[in-house]
Amino acid sequence: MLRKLLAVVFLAAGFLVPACAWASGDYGCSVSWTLRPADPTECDNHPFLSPTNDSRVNLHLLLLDAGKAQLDPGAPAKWPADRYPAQLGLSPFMLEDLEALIEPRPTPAPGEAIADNVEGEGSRCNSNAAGARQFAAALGGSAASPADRAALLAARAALKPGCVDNPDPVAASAPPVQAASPMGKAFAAYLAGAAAFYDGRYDPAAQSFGSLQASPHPWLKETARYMLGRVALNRAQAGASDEFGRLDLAKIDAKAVAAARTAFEAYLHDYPNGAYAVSARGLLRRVDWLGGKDGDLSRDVAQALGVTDPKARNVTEVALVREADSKLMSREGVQGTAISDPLLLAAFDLMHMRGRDPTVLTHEILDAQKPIFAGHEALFDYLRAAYLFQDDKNPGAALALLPKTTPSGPMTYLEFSRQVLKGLALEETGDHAGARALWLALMPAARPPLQHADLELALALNYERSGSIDQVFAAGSPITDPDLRELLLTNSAGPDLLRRQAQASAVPERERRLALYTLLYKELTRDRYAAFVKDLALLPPAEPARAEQTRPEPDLAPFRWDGQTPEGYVCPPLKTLAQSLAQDPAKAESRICLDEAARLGGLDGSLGVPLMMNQLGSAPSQFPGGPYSRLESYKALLADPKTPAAVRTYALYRAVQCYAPSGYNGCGGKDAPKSQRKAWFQTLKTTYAGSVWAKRLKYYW
Amino acid sequence: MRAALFSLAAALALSAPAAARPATGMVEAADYDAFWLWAGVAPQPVLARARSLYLLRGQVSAPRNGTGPARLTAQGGSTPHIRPRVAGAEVWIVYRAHTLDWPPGIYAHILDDLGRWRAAGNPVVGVQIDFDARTRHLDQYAAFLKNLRARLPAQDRLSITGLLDWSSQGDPAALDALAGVVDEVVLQTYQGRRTIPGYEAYLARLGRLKVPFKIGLVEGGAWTPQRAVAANPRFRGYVVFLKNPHTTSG
Repeated sequence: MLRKLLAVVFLAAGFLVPACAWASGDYGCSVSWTLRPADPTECDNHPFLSPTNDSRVNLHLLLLDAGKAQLDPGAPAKWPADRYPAQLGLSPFMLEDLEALIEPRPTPAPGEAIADNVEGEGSRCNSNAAGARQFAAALGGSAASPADRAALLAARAALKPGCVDNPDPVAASAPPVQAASPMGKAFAAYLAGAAAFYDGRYDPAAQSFGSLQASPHPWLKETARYMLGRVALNRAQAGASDEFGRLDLAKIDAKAVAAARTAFEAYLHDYPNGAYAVSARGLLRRVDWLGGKDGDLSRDVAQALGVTDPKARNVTEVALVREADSKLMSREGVQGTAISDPLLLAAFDLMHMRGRDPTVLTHEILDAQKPIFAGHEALFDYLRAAYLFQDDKNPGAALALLPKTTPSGPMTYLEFSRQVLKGLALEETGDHAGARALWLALMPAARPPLQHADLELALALNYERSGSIDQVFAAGSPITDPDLRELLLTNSAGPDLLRRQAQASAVPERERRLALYTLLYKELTRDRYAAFVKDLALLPPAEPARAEQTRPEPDLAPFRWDGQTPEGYVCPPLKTLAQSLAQDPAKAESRICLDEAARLGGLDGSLGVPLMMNQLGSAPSQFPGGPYSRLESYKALLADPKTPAAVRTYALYRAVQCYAPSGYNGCGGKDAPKSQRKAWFQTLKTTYAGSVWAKRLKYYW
Repeated sequence: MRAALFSLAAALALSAPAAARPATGMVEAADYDAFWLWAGVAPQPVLARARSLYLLRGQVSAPRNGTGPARLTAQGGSTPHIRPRVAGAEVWIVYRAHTLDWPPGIYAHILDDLGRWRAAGNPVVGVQIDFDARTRHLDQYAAFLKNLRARLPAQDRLSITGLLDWSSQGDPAALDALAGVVDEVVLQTYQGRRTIPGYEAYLARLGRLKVPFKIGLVEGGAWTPQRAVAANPRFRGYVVFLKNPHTTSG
């Protein structure tokens, strides 16, 4: 939450929108800059098997290792520029990021209409367009008379089903075609079946398709047999949708489910490589699901995931993983005992390590799963270690199950997971030196791009925790992710490091500007005026307004302030002001002008907001002094009896204005109650009634 | 806390567009009468009192790595047959969009959905697009919406979700371009499934928005009625994003 608060502050300052901004719907999130997010969001996935990952990310990682999915070899070194939220490094990431890298991708179907861009759990009508094409093709090559063909084609084209699963009776959407030729009659029967099927009139549909089971026309015969399964499957769901179109599994017609299974299995027996074999196998998974057969579903999902020939499957790995998650792994009430596939079970177990539900996962339940993991012993040990680490907070016991050696070559995601967990456990036991050595040793072996990015975060956290963030910025540092470096510069770095980075020629200009902005801002607002004056020399010459960037860059213009105010309050140029403050930091005339510099430069609340605990950038800052706020500065001036009247009246005016016009404090610091704002207003209006500021102030808020 | 000062006035001023609600604190669905129902979220009894229902229907995803057309993933099962208990209640079909580069098939599918839902007797009033438009892309979004508006039947309304910082950070010309194109903007005060801290400061700047707007809340999130919202003549009430009692998914 604090992370998001920081975003508000930055936006208010008009600079540096951090990695995450706003989002809508159930989409959008903030990154936790840690490998162990306490409150994970959709943005907090890591390239190792983790209880805090989205269960689908964990399953993808396992499938990548198993060769059942491939990463795009041309995977980018960073996320696309229009990714939302914008992020410069690769890890943590969102499920969608990983999905976009996974192959095989769906094959584009150029020139095809409507349903071809549509996937997911639609309705049975999704097959109407393709069905019409196949019908026309089969009819075209058949012995039906030309007149019958024309009539049938026209009728098929006119079939525009609504697929409304509606309790109201539905009239036939297409009148039957009166064919004359025998083959024409057979196609007419098929068409009547199709119309009845799409209309949801399952008895006549079953009748029509049943009459074609022995048709001499091979297409009619095969298709009718397949359609018998679909009729039964749809009948099973017919009365089970609520008014919002959602299935209530408790209302499924079990007899129809059984009939669908029989029909699809019979079809597959006779047509193992039939035109609809892939579809029938997919629909059998739906039969499993509707029938509440989690064990069968687990087996069939695993079987489908094992099919890598694109011709032998009609869903992508990505779609199948989503299906496995929503229909099996994440479904309420599913038990691990139903899952017979080690990869699915591992993803399921990891998900349940997040919270204690002793009916789903305990150490005893996990141990009892050992036979399922035969041949996957390293994965099983990893699960045990992850559970000990996550749930029992026992890093020592976890370490005993983790590898003793460090790989020198590319790592599978499982091997990477084992090494990362080892590093995290070392950190947890207090062996930060050991952990650091591990992070550094893994870097060369980390397979780009995701693994390396995650190690950078781990190493940066380690350096920060041990008070040596200079190492992050040392020459040859493996930590190049701009997000990580910027977090440390704005939140943690002391003046020396900031000064060094502001002048470092080997780093990107953005980093130099950020370091300089942070240095000057903190020097100016934390009573280091002499240093500020000296460091002003680092300011580049004024430049024309820069084109809008994907991520706004810090604007250095506030540090070139000439002392002018639109309200006519007179101040010296910023450099002169800082020189005066260096001589006499308490001088009221100078202090109120410093507040003006902050106000007009949009520095209110800039930087210095503490981050969420245990995230990168949350360690105590190495920059001395605390955060500055205008409201606190005004309060101090008003509390000081020596503050001259000219400054006092302006401070009163400005303090009240902090709340204009919304009633919310825009100046930072501790909120002043409304009674206080009223008192300021009245003092200005009575004691200083003659002042220009009293005349200008009309309201308080 | 600080907003409590005008909560009473706000509660009074707000009582017209929606039902009475607590002056401050947690968003209770039972205090509202407009809801989003998302995929995977179980319907609640509170839906019976809905005047407006926003039902997720599908998600338009960007092509993988820039190849192939955008895809629409249908969500939410078969065509609903909603028979609202509240007279005059409205149903909106919602599509989430991760991309604005839509092939013609997706527009056609949405028109199909509209027709099918209507044929089933659902009181559908229009389409809502839930797109995560960054403020700097508002101009492109306005152009997209203009195109979509032109494709929709005249009787159908167009709603969009909006981001909190539009009112303060958005390009004013692009914001103005939304007026006359969309019928309403529902501004999210939450991110993920939690209320955005500091939402008050954003809402205080809503004056710039020239489009009728609603405020999107999240069930169980924080919300204190806002004077600036209540006073705005374009304010049209609240929509609450319903959640499952306890979410284990993901």
